[in-house]
Amino acid sequence: MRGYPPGVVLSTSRIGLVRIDPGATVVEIDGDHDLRSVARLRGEVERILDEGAAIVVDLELTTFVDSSMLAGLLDARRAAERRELGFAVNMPSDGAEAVQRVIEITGLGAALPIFETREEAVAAVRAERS
Amino acid sequence: MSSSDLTIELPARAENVAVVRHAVAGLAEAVGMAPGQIADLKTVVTEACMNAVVHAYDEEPGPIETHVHRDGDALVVTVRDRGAGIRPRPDTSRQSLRMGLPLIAALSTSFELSGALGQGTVVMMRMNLSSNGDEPAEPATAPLEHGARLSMPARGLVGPVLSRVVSIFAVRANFSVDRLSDAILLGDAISAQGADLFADDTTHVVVDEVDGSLKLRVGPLREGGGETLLERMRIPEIGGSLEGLADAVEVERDGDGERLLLKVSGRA
Repeated sequence: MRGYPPGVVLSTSRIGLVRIDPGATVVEIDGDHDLRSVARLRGEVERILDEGAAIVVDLELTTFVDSSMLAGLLDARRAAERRELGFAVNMPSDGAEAVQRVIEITGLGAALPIFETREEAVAAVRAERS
Repeated sequence: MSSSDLTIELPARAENVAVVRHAVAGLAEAVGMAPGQIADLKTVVTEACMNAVVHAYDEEPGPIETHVHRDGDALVVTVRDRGAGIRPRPDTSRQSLRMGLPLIAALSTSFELSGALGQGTVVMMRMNLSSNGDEPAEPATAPLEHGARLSMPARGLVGPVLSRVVSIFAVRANFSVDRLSDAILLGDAISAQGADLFADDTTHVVVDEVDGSLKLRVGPLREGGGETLLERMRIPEIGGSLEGLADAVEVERDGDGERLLLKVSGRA
């Protein structure tokens, strides 16, 4: 059997982009993310907004975010607002506890438009556009 | 070093924080910490390490040392750097929300921050193994809405501390100069005459200002201590009596011993 011994941590952290249509792009933030990922997040957000597209940040498969990533998310929302482009977050309520906790305890749940599913988040940014 | 001690030292670089996070989470799992607590532990450890990465060394290389040990039903995690120490800095970048420390405060069972300019920073965080311990402990006594509650060593400190606190409350209550010195004298007298009458090593005093008067509650005194103190202060050599300085004197008794209740009004 091919495999790793128990306890080995597989680094599956990734930031992926899925272009839904010319007007909306999903940023998938999978795995653990901290200060190391923030520059990448900011860069992708900047690029998407430059294209004139709305942003959906997908936290469904996120297992960990630290405060610098939260700052990155909040800045992404502000940048989208400045350009009058849509911004939404998808985070299912049964997602990773570590992510739910920091968002709840920092009060960012109220500062970010959070939706249960990716479909709802995409629909929300599309509704903003029309 | 006990079986659940762990020490990790590595360069203070952002990519190393995940190493500490996973190592500490692995230990937490091994000692049976509840999953919700492990989630919080990962956050507080990350924030403490990131603080060292971002603030400790000003681009210079330097270490982060993390130590974890079990203390009863909790893990105690200490994150130490050898950097510039805690420095007040204006928020010149928008890189952070300055949430690191508030997150540590909110998610840990308790935490301590220490350090000095040029001597590095130490963040010590305690996390209970189960979340049951998160409930705030019932305070032993009801919180005060006004006034002050002081605890101090029965010998030596009562006089110097009590007379200062009494004088502040007396000034606040617009005491006349005469009554102010009476109030201070009262504090000094209790400590001078009562040092051997206190029941415990620690003396508790509640000072409060009510309608221009000061109320003091001093104790616990040992059995008969209240009466003895009043008796001693009737001796003319000390310049009058407790009753002369205070407008009302009462001895209260309960299971813990005796307490002296005093009232001094601001005007003669």
